[in-house]
Parts: sequence; C-alpha cells; structure tokens
Amino acid sequence: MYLAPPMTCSLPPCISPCAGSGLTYVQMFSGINEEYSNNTCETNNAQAYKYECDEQDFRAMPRLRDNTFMVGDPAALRFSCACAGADPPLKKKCTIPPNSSNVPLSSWKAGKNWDGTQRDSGSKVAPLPTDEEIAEACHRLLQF
Amino acid sequence: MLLYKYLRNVAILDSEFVRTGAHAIQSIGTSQMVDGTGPDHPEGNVLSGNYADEIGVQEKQTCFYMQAMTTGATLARNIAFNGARAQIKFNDEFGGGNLMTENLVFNAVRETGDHGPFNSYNRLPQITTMKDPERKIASYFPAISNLIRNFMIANYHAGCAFDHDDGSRFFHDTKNFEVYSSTQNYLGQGKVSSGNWISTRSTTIPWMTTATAPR
Repeated sequence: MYLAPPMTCSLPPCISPCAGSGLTYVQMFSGINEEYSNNTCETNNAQAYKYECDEQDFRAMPRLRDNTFMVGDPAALRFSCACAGADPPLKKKCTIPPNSSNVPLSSWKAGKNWDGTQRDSGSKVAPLPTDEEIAEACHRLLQF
Repeated sequence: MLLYKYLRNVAILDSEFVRTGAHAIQSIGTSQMVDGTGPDHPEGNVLSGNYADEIGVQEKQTCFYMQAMTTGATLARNIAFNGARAQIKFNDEFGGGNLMTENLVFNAVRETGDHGPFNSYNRLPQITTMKDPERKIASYFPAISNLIRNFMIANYHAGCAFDHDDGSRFFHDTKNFEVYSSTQNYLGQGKVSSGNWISTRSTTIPWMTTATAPR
C-alpha cells in the first residue's frame, strides 16, 4: 500500500483567488472573447480575482458575469484588478480603472467587461457552504 | 504506448497503467512547418475507462496522456493519479476539437511545480481544417475543446485544476468540480469557464482534504 503524505494547505493554491491571469499583461489580450460565468467559488482568499486591467483596455480580463463567491465573511471579500506585467518591452503605462482596486462587489460592478457589458452582472457573494452542500454540489455537477 | 503520425480513431479502453517509466500514453503527429493539413497526425483517439497510477517513475516530465499535433481526441471516464507532473497534457492546440469528460484526476504535480492535473500549451498555432465542419477550409483557428464534468483535485504542488498556459485557446471548461483550484488564464483567447464549482480552500470533507491513495 502506498500512502502519499498528506497535503499541507498553508500554501497556494489553498488561499488563491477564484480566477486570474497570472503573469500576463494587458497588451496580450489574454481575456479577449473569454468568459468566466455561472461559476461557484468557495474561498478563504481576501480577493476574488487576480486579473490585469487598464482603464483604456479591459482585454486582459474575461467577460465576468453571474458568479457566486462563497466566503467566511461576505462583507470582507474584495475585488481588484491590477496594472502589472511580465514583459517590460511591451509594458506600457497602465492605469487601474475606477472601482477596480480593493472594492466590494457592489462597486466592482460599476466597471465594464471587454464587450461593454456590466462587469460581474448577476454575481453575488454568499456565506461558505456546509460540507453537505459541497457534497451535494459535487454529485449534482458530476451526475453520480 | 505511442500513437505516432497517421492514425485514426484508435481506442484504448479499460486498461491499467502502473509504474510506467515515462508517459503512459503519448500521441504525436507531424506537420510541414505550421501546415498541419496533411494526414500524418493522430485524429480521433479515444481513451476510456483507463486506470493510471504512479506515472513517470524515471522520467518526470510525463503524464498519463500527452498529445502533441493530435486532434479530436476523447478522454472519458479515466482515473489518473500519483504523478510527478500534469497527468493530462495538450502540448499544443493543433486542430482542437477534443473532449475530456467524466475523468477523475488527482495527486498530480507531486515532484514539480507550476502545472495542474490538466495542462495545456499553445506556443505555436498551426493550420488545420478542424474548425470547418466540412474539413475544407484551413485555418489558424482550432475547433473548440470541451472539458466537461471532470473531477479534478489540484493537490500537492498543482496551481489549478485546468492550467491553460502559454497561449491556450478555445477551451470551454463546463460543470467541472475543481478542488484546491483557481482558474488559470495565461494568454491565448476564446476560453470559457462556466458552471464550475471551484474550491480554493480546505474543508473538513475527507475526500477533499486527504491526498492519500491506497495502492
């Protein structure tokens, strides 16, 4: 019998955000024609996302809508996108859009997706599910 | 097992792969530079009901299934666990049109980092006819690959269940159950993540917290 060592949950991805575009940068259109929707994410992370963004160019983020974020303290969850970049030669001066830095969902929704629709329209923040609810969701999704 | 160049609709069913030195199953085609419209590639591979455990005993950049310049593959109801790196890897998009459904993958990325149980790259798009239902018009755009209702546990050093890396394009991840995962989106375009359950945290549910696998 082989017993692998138990995983430790003190490191990422256990505290990672629900979605992101790690190490990408706005100019490479990482989110164009992309969508993150109708997902349920349970997380202990303080931030929902880790995306890149620019006031003039939202193409680094997928279209965001109708997601549910389940967290221990729904009032504490924050939404941000950042001006970063992994490729200095292509990096341009970037400006974080309004309502895009460490804000609650209600403020985050004031922003727009790359296609001009409301950012995270229909999305909501909810308390963490019980273990029974997680197991039920697993059975429902995977149909077993 | 190596699937190489011109192959159509090869089926690998209900097989067991244990303690393989390198990849359990590797599918590789060829092209003329970026022109993949020729016949010399595997197309329509079907992997179903297979069981893979302890993959890559000697070579660590290895998987239960790795495909390169291969198109239209179906992976269904396979179980893959205990591996040094990603367990399922699409090295490039080629023609796309792949289906991955009802698989259980866990205990990947035990001896490396960065990857997930599933990993895709697309550093060099190639021309194929897969986007066109009549297979007449060649295009740099692939057909959509669907990853549906998979149970993926991104434990050990995995960063996310579906690691769409390095320009991956046209993946639709739908109704998957992803544990210890976030959604990775590194360059590329046309990816849709919808209807998934994503857990980035620990819980007290035993099968979500214990990375043990009897053998």
